[in-house]
Amino acid sequence: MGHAFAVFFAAVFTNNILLTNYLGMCSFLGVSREVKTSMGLGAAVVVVMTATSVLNWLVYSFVLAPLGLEYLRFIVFIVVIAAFVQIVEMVIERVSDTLYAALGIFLPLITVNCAILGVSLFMVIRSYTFLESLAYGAGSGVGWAVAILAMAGIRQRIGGSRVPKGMEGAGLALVIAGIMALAFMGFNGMMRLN
Amino acid sequence: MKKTGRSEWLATMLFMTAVTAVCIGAVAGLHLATANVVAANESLFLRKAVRAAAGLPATGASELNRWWAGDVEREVLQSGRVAYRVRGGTGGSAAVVLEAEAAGLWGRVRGLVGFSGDGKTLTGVAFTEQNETPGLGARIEEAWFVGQFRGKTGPFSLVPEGTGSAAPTEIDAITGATITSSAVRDLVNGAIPDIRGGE
Amino acid sequence: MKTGKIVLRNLGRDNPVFAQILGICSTLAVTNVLKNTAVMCLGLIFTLALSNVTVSAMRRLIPGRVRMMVEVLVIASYVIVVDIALRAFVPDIARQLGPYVGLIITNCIVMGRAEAFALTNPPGAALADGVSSGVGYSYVLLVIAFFRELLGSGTIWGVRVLGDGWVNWSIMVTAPGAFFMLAVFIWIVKGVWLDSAPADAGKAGAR
Repeated sequence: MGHAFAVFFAAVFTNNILLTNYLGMCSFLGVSREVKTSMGLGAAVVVVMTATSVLNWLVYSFVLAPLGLEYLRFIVFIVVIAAFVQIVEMVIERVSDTLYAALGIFLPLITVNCAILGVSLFMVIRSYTFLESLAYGAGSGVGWAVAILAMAGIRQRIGGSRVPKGMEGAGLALVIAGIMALAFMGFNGMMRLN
Repeated sequence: MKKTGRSEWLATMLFMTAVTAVCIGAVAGLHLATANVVAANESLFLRKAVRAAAGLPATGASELNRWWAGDVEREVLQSGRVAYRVRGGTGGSAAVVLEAEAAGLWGRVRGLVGFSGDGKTLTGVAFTEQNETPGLGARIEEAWFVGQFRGKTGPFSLVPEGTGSAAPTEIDAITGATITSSAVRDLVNGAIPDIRGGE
Repeated sequence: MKTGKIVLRNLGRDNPVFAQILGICSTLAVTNVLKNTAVMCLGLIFTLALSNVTVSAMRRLIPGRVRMMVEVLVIASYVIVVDIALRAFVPDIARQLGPYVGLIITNCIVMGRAEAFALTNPPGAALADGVSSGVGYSYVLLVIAFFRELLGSGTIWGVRVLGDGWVNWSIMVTAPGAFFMLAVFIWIVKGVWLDSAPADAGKAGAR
């Protein structure tokens, strides 16, 4: 239990999947212009990442590994993720219009978010247990959401600033991401991931 | 949303199934075709690492396999630790190589720690699994780093990189990779009691 | 569209990295070592080219409803091929790349090209588009990897080039280094090169 908590904390702060592994950059740079949309995407990522890491852990431990089919994990993981996203989209479309308006439009973006698949792959490589995988999935999702929210907040504030021409947009966003990554490295001293 | 006819639905399902079958079939075929090569790579990798930890010079694959078959014996110690006993003789002096692991920054660091036949000094250290940061923690695999254990006695403590300490209980850490360096220190120190008893 | 035009466009103005900031996710992480970057880039070009051709060849058969799933399946299969090939023939590099090879699947460029180009163009053009997008992407990353390895470790391709007096810039091998490096690269390209491009665009087209 204690270790799972450590994994969660580390995934949010010290080993933030976005700022240390650069996963999920595309949607990160594309969507982080506004706090509101960032919040929607961030929430969707938390949900999908937590659920798919658990699902993929189950599939890997109870189907792929016993059958010796580990090499098929790329296909299986991505199909699980795509199928899960599809189902969630269908469900929230029927259940709640407001929720669909808030999260629905982001869901298709998520299938191709590298961070989701990345979490599943890292989980296998680091041979996490079930609880650790759950913690890692949830932590990475929260970490990703925290990073994109912080980024959106900063971008909104500097929106009116004068920026060298070549640096506008993506260039500046990358510099911000770099500084954020530096700041998050500060958490390293507090924590180590075992 | 557009209503889908039953036949269109069926065609879609059939198409998906066919594509999936072709993809998985092709991949599985390739996997089976290369399974032996991959397995051979894996065992070769372990043998190379054991040889390096035993302090012996690297050799070609066929020589390595001959050495492995003739001079190396795997056993499980009382503590549950896996050991490889390397016979001395023409190939070099005797050594005992122990498997060891410790928690690094990103995940498990697994390695092999080699001791001379009398257990007094280390013959070398080699790593078999690590997920540390490339360029920082991953530098534990560099020759200078693993080389510095050789001939020392341990248990070890860390001194800053570049000290080049010759003291028998000190090793240089890697700048910017303190946690990984400590993990390696723990990994090596943890193996020492298995050879010399509690110290 | 002419093949030559596709190639030029993908290498220059429409380069996926600095024009669209696409696909840096999976590969940026390995750019602190030049050799790993080169291997990842080769894997990416292979996957991109072949998945483009395959999707393009099937473009009239794929039902619209499941086209994303089909694309992902095709891409994932090619990535597994790359992974198996690496583990069989260059095990040391495969060990270092770890999970990143698998992440080529979700590289936005691969999906993006399949979706935007291969679905509507014949296989030949799709091949040209795939290879040139891949190369356009790769050279940017190789430049970044070159500087990161040089400044961060004092080496190029693992060979020490800077003298012992060189103090390694640790930041270059860690995560923030990649962000700063890419930002500077984009700044230079957008500020200097693309800025002057419209003026001689006519000449470039005639060449």
